[in-house]
Amino acid sequence: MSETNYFRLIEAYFDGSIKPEQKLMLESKIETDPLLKAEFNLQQNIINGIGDIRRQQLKARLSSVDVSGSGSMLFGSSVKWLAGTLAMVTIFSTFLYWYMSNLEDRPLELSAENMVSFKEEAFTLPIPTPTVTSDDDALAESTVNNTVKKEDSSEKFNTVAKNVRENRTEKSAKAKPQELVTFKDDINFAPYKDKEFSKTIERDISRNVSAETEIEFLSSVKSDSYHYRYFNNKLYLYGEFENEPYEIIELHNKGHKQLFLSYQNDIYSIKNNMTNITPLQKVEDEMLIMELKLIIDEK
Amino acid sequence: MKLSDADIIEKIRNGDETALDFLYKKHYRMMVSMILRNNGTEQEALDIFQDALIVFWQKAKSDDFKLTSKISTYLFSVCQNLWRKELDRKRKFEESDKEDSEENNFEQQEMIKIIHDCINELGESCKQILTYHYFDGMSMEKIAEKMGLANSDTAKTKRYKCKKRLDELIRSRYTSSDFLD
Repeated sequence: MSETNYFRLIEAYFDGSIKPEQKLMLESKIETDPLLKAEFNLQQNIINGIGDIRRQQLKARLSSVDVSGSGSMLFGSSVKWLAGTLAMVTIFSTFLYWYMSNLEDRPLELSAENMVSFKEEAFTLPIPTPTVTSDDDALAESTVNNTVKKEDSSEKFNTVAKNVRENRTEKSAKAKPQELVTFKDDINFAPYKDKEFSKTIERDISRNVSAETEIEFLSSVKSDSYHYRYFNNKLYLYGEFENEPYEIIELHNKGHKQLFLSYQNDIYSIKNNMTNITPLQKVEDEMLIMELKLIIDEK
Repeated sequence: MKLSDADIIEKIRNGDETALDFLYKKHYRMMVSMILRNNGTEQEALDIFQDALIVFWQKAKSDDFKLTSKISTYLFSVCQNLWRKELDRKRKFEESDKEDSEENNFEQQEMIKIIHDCINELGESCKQILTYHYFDGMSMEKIAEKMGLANSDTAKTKRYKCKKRLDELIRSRYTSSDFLD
């Protein structure tokens, strides 16, 4: 094959139109012919140069994109969700505070229907009631007291209540969090500013182990499921949490906080003021999951 | 504006660069934070994220490209890999003989500069057609459509002439003997 044809093969090589046998032929010729090798290298550099120019064009385009909106967590989808949750929690907390203030003066009114419903659940699913030790747990305490009072009216209920109390004593285990990651990062929620970004991130990853949230373990409501209650800085976890280490991530924003539980490769959101036993909801937002995993991986 | 992953891939395959703008804006904070948290500077973080998007841009154009995860997950992995490579490159550079590598680098840089200068001396349409063909891997039909040319044959002829002109420009500044040194 003439030299000119080899040059055409080089062109076909960079076009992507070269056939496999031609490619082998070209490669073996390049090894023995310095001039052809020089031409090949030149063409390689030209194609790379064209790629560089295109990359510069695309990068210049990207650099001119206004990212002030996306830089701020306030506009991120995960934060919209978080902000929404915090707003809901705030409203709910206010309502709960008002309700609990009144609760001290009047007993909880439980209808007979409610009582029967509890009874049925108790037979099929032995729900252990958490040990309530703090005076702050007014709602939990009054719920337990009222329930027990109502149970006195039925012999069956007495048995159930006894079982529940026994379960409570045997299975409840009070524990501090293994690690509580706390983000005091109000700035994280502020709009992004170019020059301050590095500083923001440095502050972003600062964290403290907090002992504010107390965790208590209770046996599961249903097998292979996880439930929780969370109020007055006390988190009651229902389920088998002994298998793997868990982690609690606590995000703070302007006096409000949002908890997440990381357990067995899943992340669950924990809403505040959940006085009823609630199934743990997995976080579905992939970006939020990534952010939380980054936080966890930072340790 | 909300775009699904499939919409974005479709846009990229049509050479619509607004898909890149969308992805850049959407994932900017997330990706840049990852680099910053791993000892990168802000400029490095921007470079890596932009490079990752360009890698995605090129990959997504390929016919045999199949997205097996969300685009965000894919981009995150590319960013991580690019950043690992960059850290590795920096470490190797610090360990190597700097004088020797700088000398070799200088020759290479000089050659690259000549090539860049020559490309920039071509007209805008030549630059476009060459970059669309060699970098974006666009078909001649798509190039003709995008550049408002009569048909794919016109695009093909124009591409050939532009490449020939570029080769001549570069050769006039850099002789074969220089390449053989």
